[in-house]
Amino acid sequence: MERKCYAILTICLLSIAFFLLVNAPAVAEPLKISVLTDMSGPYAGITGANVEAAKMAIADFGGKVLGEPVEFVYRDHMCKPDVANQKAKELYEKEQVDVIFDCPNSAAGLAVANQAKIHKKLFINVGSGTTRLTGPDCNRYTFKWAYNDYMLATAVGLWAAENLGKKWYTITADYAWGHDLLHHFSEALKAKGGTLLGNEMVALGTSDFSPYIIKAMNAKPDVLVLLNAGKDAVNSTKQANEFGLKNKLKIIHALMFIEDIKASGDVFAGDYVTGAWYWKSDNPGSKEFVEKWKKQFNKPPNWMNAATYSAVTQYLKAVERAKTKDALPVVKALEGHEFRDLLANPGKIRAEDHMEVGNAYILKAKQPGEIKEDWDFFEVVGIIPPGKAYQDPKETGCKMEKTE
Amino acid sequence: MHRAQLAMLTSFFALALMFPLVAPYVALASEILIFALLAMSYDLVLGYGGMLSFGHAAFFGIGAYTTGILLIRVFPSVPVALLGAVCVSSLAAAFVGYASIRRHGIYFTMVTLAFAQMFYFIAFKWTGLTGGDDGLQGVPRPNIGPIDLHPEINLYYFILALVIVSMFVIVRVVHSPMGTALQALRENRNRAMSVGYNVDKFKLVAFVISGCFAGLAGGLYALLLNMVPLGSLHWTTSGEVVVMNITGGMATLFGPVIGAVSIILLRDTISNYTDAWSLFMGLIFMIAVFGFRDGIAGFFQKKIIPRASEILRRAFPRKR
Repeated sequence: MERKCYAILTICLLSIAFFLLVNAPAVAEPLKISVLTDMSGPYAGITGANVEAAKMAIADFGGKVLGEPVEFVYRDHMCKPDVANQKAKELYEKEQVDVIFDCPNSAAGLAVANQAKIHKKLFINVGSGTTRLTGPDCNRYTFKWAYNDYMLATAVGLWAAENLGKKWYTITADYAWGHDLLHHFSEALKAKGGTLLGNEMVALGTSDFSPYIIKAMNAKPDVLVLLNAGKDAVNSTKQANEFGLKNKLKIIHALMFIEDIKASGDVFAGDYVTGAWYWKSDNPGSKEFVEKWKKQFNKPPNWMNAATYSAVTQYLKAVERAKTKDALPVVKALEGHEFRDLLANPGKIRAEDHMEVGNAYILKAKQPGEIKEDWDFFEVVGIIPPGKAYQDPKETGCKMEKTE
Repeated sequence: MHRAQLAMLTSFFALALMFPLVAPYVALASEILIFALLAMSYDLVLGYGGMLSFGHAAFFGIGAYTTGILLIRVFPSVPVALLGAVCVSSLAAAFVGYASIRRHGIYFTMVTLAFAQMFYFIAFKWTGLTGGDDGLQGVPRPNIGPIDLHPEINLYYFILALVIVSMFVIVRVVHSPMGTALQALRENRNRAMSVGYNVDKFKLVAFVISGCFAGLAGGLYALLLNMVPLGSLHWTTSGEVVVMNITGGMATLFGPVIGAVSIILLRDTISNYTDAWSLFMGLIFMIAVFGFRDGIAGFFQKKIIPRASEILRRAFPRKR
């Protein structure tokens, strides 16, 4: 009896398998674009809408390329590198996508870049800041769009050393990202002949910053640099405000979006940060994009969203130039390409390390009284050209392999 | 070995052979297998030993990092790397187990959690060795003799072979005199002691065996991902394994496997449709806790299988 059951079970399973094999999906012919981003993890509020940005870019392009309709899928990587890695395999192997966009979180970005190299398909990263993507871990199929940690630190660093003061004090989140930023910030300061009075390494998730802030206050710097993000940035700035630091010095942050200011009230008022774009900027196509976005979501896009829109648009244009969706010709069409669009005016995709470079914007958070329009939280106080904001491609440590 | 267990193991094998064809994608099938092994190894500690360890991620992560580091820096050979992973994670389990097993209940849970967090922060800070927050990137998959592990499907069957062997060993352990003693001391510690069992020794051995297979699962995970994410050592990984055990059914061995399959499969599918996937996962967990106290496997064993066999018996009366 038992044996009979097993025989039946095996036959059933084999027939299912056969059915699935016979009906295996045919190789996808039209161009297929995908976005892999954080939609339910800590960055979801910033990067979740990148899916909409990509959709909008495809629609604005006409929904067609090389006469074929463009297909689109997206996946949520939950801000976990292991999930990102698995989803990248699904996208490249099962969904047969031609390109993956975005992917915030440095570990996730590096993992997907490795998968892109293995599968010989394109990966255009927007969300992760690590310089390894265009440095030691660069590869022919991976591009990095709009920003990286070097640019975040160097742009505002150079500007602040010139305009705010040459005596700095830093409070750094004690992990790889913080250390990396500290390195780039101090290099920028050194280039301008300033001095770093001191640095405090603070564990991630610390809630009481007062000992560090008192130390910083006693050193009497012109500028306090807070190399942290999210909740740590809010806590440290709040406590600096309580000590009345903003009357004595200026505060610089490493990374901040309009959503962060919306969520935390006037904590960040008067502080400085680098941005890759601001929604009030008047680059070609910028105004139309913001209008459309506002109509759909009742808020302006942040610069990650704009960067995703730009990356998708430039990719589609490269496919048209290459006249094929095959990976290598498209890579060649992207390499060294110069363009002007809503994000980068002008922009260039460097062939040496696959970094897309544009102007870096120095943003100053407005005081509550100065905000005339909702979401207009920043004032653009300076623009750093790409030549200064990004590392010289000879120094990134990237050895681009020449796959023909 | 009991006939029923052999039947279960073979039916698992038959299902697993065809699983890549049915699963959404092959890499996911491999991931499910790895977590099935991890959950099954954990069942030894939670289900049979009655110890709610909250530090199982430590052995999983240590196995993964050991494999990755050995493959990248020392010797590009998969068997050597996996053997290293098993050894190092067993050693770690012996160390953690020795220090924590004297405590019971919530204190045991807390001590294991503390050790796991310690390993997490070592990996987080020691960026030179582990890559820190960026994870250990670029773990290669060298060939084993003539077998090329690069195609996902080859890796899947390689993992399957190791998982089947491990499952066989775990089943044997559970049904050995040691496994029986382990269950006895779970049910009544004092009575087991008064009979003359060295309770702590049994617990420690179970803990080390469990850590050894968790390390193997971790090593396979590093191969699958071509990297080691820092999250593999995070306490949420331990939590996930606990959830898999509870939804699947503790102390059933195949329950955790079912738990792993259903949770990973559901998470993967639901997250393709909504970013509120964790809400659904929470609901499913609640249904499992309230509705199926013995997990999915327990529900089938106690409710469905007796009823089904009753129906079958009526339909096909046995000829003697």
